[in-house]
Amino acid sequence: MNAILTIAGNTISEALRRKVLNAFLLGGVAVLALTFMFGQFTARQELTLIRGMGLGIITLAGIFITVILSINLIPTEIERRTIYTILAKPVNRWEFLIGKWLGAIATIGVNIVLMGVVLIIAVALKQIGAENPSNPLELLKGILMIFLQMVLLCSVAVFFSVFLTPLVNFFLTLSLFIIGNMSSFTQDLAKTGSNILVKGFFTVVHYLVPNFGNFQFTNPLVNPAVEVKSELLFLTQNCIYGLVYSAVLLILAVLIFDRREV
Amino acid sequence: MPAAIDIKNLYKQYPVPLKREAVNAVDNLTIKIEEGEIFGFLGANGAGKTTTIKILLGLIYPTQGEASVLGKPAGDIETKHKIAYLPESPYFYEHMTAAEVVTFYAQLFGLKREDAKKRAEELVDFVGLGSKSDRNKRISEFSKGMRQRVGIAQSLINNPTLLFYDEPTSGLDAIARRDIRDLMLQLKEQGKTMFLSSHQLEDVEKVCHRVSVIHKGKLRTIGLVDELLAGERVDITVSGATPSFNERLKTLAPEANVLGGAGTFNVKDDAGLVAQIIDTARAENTRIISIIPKRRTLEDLFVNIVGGRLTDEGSIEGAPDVNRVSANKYKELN
Ligand SMILES: Nc1ncnc2c1ncn2[C@@H]1O[C@H](COP(=O)(O)OP(=O)(O)OP(=O)(O)O)[C@@H](O)[C@H]1O
Ligand SMILES: [Mg+2]
Repeated sequence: MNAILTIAGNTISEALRRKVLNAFLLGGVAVLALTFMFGQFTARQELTLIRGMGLGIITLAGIFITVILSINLIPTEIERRTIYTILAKPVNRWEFLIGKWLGAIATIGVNIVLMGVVLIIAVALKQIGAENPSNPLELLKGILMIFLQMVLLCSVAVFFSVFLTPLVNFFLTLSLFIIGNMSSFTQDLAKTGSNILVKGFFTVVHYLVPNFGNFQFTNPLVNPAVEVKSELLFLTQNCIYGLVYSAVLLILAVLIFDRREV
Repeated sequence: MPAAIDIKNLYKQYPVPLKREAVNAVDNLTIKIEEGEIFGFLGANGAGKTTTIKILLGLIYPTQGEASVLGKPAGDIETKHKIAYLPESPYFYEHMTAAEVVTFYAQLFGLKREDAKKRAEELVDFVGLGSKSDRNKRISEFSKGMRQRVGIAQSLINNPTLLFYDEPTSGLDAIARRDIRDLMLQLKEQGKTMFLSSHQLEDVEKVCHRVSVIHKGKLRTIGLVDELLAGERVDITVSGATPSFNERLKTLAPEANVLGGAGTFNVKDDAGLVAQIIDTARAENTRIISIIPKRRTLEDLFVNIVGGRLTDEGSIEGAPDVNRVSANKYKELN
């Protein structure tokens, strides 16, 4: 445990030094601040817009931070040969991998929380003096879902990073994120495909590609008319899905990484 | 007691991209190293030294064969509590100070943060990076020699019984080399086992009990340093050697190594033979300039085995010629 936490802590302190990541964080915060400037809408429209765009911006900045951080997590250690001295110590390869992953997750979490706080403050400020204001803390659920989505995205990228180059990994992970976000679309195709081959293909795609789309909490928040039957169920289901899928990916990553030469 | 290191018929092949055949980085290597031994592992660039060490640490896997360390298969996690590794030109997290880096590694051994910090301070002092200005520097501002010292500091955290040092003195200045050599002698005195890969032959000669030379992944020679270097020789330098002197020399000492063009040759240290050569020189009007007894150096051995020319950095290039003069002697002549 000590080794995992040491490696995780080290990963965080290194990540926080990376300018690219901070740039995305700053960009996210800046755009969030900009949404605050809308003036030509009614108060209600404006609030909906801020919430929707806010969560969207956090997701976008989150994607870039997550992908850029995760695809390089392990390749950089190998390339810079810092891994030699680490693995020569009593550190199992799985501990190394989990430590790196945990450090990345923590970094991503910090970034998302920071952006989330800005958004919540913005929404709270907008509602000063409004009639029947909604609780801005409701947004926390949306932010949690974004974070879970990023945990899953990080696991996908780390999994590929143990056997693919960062460049290939970058495009592959992003494509999977996009496909995974169209989960309802792939599900439709799996059912209504013109022939068995097409159906089979999309069924495989639908079940294999992580369903990032499930995590879209944006809609019910932006548009309260669309009702989620049981919010709690929705949240727990997504949590379990994200964590189980991540666990499977990490186990596979460890199995591959164990045989890998460094 | 099991051997400290036991390598049996070890092979390692690296695939070459776009080619059928692979590089044989390690080729049927068998070596056994006992505890308490300082073992020199010599070889030219690309001989397979680093590859062997990486296999012993479990960083890479052999294509075939077995390797065990302290009685356990290579890469065993328990064994890693008792061993140390100093990679060739070690790399660390550039944004940290020496003490931070060593603290990080100490924590990987399970030391609590405070204990790890204390241990790091001790070791940073010990390797000579304790001055105020060095303490505040980040690794990115360190020179090669300073990095090597950090590498040594991290290798001593766990008071290891077995150390793998991969070219610890290459590329260092005379002072740093002497410091590291002294440290290795200290470790030798403490009864540590060391697997020392190097092509700084002088260091190996002074530090090691036993040496081996590998070439293209194959073991070419192995033995006690004293044994391998036995067979004293004498360098005789003459001037104005006449052709008939050269003729007679050839019959007197057919195995004489002629060093360079001028007039130095190297023969067995045999009083009778040397006296005969002196007589011959007198008779043939050839002036003797000097007669210097020489111990065979590791370098001679190395050059003979690897069969090339040894450049200053110790890399091998050029034609295989067993009786070729070694680089240093060549310089003495010119
Ligand atoms: N990762 C790798 N992939 C392919 N070939 C490799 C790899 N690492 C080493 N080799 C090859 O294996 C052979 C042995 O290399 P190795 O690094 O073990 O030599 P070395 O004895 O340590 O040399 P040096 O003195 O230069 O450090 C060389 O021919 C090298 O090109
Ligand atoms: Mg090497």
